[in-house]
Amino acid sequence: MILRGVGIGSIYFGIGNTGKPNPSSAFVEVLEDGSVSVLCGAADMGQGSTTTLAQIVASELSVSVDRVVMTTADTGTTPDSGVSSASRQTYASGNACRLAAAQARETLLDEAARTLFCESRNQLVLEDGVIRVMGDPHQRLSVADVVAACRAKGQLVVSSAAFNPPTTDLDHETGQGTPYATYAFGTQTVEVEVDTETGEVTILSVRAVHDVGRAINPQSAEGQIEGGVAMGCGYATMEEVVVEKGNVHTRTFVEYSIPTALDVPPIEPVLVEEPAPSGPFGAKGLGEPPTCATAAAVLNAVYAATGVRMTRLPLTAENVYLALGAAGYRDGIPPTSTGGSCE
Amino acid sequence: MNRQTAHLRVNGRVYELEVDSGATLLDTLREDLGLTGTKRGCSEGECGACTVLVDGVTVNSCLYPTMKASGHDILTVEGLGTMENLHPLQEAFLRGGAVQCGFCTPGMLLAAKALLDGNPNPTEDEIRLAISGNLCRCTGYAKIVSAVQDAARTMADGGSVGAHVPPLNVVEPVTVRGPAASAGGVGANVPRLEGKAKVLGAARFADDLSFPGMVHGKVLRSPHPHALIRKIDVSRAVALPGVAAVVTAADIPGRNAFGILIKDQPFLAADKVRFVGEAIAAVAAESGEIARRACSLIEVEYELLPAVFDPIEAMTPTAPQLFAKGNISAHRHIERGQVTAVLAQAAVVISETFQTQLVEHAYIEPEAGVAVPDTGGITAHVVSQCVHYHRSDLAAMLGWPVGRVRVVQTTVGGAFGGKIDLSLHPFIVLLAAKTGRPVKMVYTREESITATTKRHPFLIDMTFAADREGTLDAAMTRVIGDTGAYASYGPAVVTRAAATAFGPYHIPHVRVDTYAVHTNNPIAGAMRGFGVPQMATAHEQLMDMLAERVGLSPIEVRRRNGFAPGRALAPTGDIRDGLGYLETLERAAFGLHPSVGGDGADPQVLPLRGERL
Repeated sequence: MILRGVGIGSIYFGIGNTGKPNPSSAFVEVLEDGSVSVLCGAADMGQGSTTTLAQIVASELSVSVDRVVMTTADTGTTPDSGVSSASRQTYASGNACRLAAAQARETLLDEAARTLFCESRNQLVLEDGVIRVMGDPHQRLSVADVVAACRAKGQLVVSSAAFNPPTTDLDHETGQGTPYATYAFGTQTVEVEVDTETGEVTILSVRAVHDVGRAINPQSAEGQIEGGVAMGCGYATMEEVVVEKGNVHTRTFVEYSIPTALDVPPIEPVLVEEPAPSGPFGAKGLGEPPTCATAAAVLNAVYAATGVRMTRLPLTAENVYLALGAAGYRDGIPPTSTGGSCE
Repeated sequence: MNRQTAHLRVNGRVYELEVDSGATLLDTLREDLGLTGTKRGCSEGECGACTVLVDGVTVNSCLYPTMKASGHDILTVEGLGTMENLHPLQEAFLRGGAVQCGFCTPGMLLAAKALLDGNPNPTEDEIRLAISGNLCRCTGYAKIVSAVQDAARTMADGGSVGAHVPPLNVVEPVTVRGPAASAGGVGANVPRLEGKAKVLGAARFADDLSFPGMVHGKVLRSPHPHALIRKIDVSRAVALPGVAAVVTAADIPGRNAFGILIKDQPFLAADKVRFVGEAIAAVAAESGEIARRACSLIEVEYELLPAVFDPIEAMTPTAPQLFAKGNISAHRHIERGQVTAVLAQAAVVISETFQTQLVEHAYIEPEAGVAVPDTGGITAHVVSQCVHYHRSDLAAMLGWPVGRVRVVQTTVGGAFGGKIDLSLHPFIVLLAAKTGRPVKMVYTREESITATTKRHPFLIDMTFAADREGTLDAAMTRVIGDTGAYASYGPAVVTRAAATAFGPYHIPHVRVDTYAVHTNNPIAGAMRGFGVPQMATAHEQLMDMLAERVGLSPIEVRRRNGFAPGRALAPTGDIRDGLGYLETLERAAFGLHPSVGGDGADPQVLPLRGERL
């Protein structure tokens, strides 16, 4: 008998290390042609942090992103930006990069204000590599000219900044405190099909809705959601490192299966943007949250389909078959008529 | 091994070269021809990272004998397109966000090319089938599938290679809420900055690096889960021709202990091993094969100790103890309000026990790195998620000032928390310090799975108490996480599990106890989600159980309890801003059947066929 069910899973995820300082830092230099060099210790393992950080700097300094050059994760050149974990780099290193870029911007505007005989940099706008006086479009300087003016008097447009998420440690007795500076939220709904005769669970579709604060790069954010959900699908139905008396039995990709293109269902990523007041342009973090809700939603969907609570992951055919049997299923037939409908 | 002459035509260029009769095409491409765009992920034909085309047909080059390819046409990623003239597939992958870490990308591109060559207009199912031998751990395949469709359209529109392809660096201008608009700023779908190098196979992963005078490292590991080391004799290994150095704990000049939170793990075991696969000695030799043979010549005398594999048993005082301080690595306690009293009087109490499993990160790129001695220090080009932390522990190992070790992250083929801990880094750095030569090491897939960290299995007891309307009043949980032989990130995983134990729901009275417990199992550390996926299996099922008990839909019970401004009491205290939870709930519920609490607006989206709810 094939039964179908829909399940839901919600999670929230604190961005950054729990109740511990986890500062990030960045160096920014505006070069002689107005392009920007950014040094940041944040490691990109494929999630896209380098591109995201470049976009933050591009916006803060109003330059095209292809004029922002990133150097990352090299202790010989880049300052410490902590670990690329805890979904923290967009938020923590994003803030560090933005703050450093903002300082460089102030240096440029201060110099431009002197050259253009303005009383304050607040009379100026910086846009697309050009600084101009508000209300007087003819009064303008290119960023490269301003850098040249700075250099002519021995000043380099360099800046550095660090950002540490404002948190407090958890009280040892009560556990109360401010462990995270901001939180990401997510809800996923999944539809599954359960073959009650074999116990096989097939995930048919996933909708994954995630509050990212602000999507710095929506396509990249979707990619994080899709990849995280795929990992969640593997967690839910396929993956287990089998260990017996300390010896790992699943030692290769033959024995340890992860989802292939045939295993991952259609995923509908949905971005919600509830800004983090302390985030760069409102951004939070997204690396981990998509992985967190999928298995929970699948478990609820399997219950919706079968009427049986699965309390043990993974939902392999064998585990599900045994659980259904323990709940009174015989030859795939539910003990009562309260199971899902037939297909 | 016999040497034979192979005649290969690779990317249109003819090569005649002498190879071992047993050489694989992957070895020949990477080692002899320097075509490192083709990747080695598993050496067993499972991951597909090594996919190339032989006469237009996909093969796993890690298993394919070079001599079998002799006389045939071979296409690798380097032959697909060029910097100035990307293949439509490369262009589509880049534009479509199909490239994340980039390690599976070359093989994926070639699998897709073979498909499109024979079937210019494939269905989604045909694409998924065609790439089903190519594992990707980053993307969930969605953007890869759509990129292949995109490329098929481009090619059908008269696009031969490179035709009608928009220029690469075009990024859309957008209006941002920040200081001013800029091309490719916040909110724009900027292609990965390093994406072009990745689709061309030009991105340098650690295994792609090579230095003059380089030697190759291998590790000797413990076959026992718990044992004392009585004696290590390396003399036969040292005497093997081609061996440059053998190191054991005795060769570590500085601190023989590391760990991102607690420095409880030896770089090389000195007196005791605590899990199967723990490193005991490392060898550098002229070839990986010699290093492997040398490892087998090292004699280790063990005195076996009773071991413990069950974390519950490990918590008892009579269990074998891994450390003098006991087996409990970390305990996090949270207590607020009157949990016991509320539970005793609650209208509805729901309780259940959940068990989750040990899981592998399974990044497609195994651990790899090269340590290079240079002026006054050592530079390690390695996989990493945290170069500064790695530098700190590596310098302490050598007893050097921190800055003398430089850690440079190479392009990394996925990590997911598994490349936070040091893996082969200390071995190559120590061997480079000892030999004065560049030392390279690449883990086999088996080593990657057995010797590095995993996701914690959790045993979770959780209880929710609510009123008859389904409003939560109290929650309680006790969690045992098997953290294996060493702490790694375990204490932080159980701390995060505690801090967000019950999901995004306002609950006044809470009690949480989470434990990271040592056993002689593989080490559990950081993995994407950090305890939250485990806890969600418990709190989300309890929410549905509560809904059923009080006669609410799963959506409505979450609506009623979900964090909202002024009503967001997490286990650790109030959350005051950025509260996006309810919007995620409503967006997820949109279109769902009314029986789960949705508005039924869109029957096409997740139609509910089960009637259980």
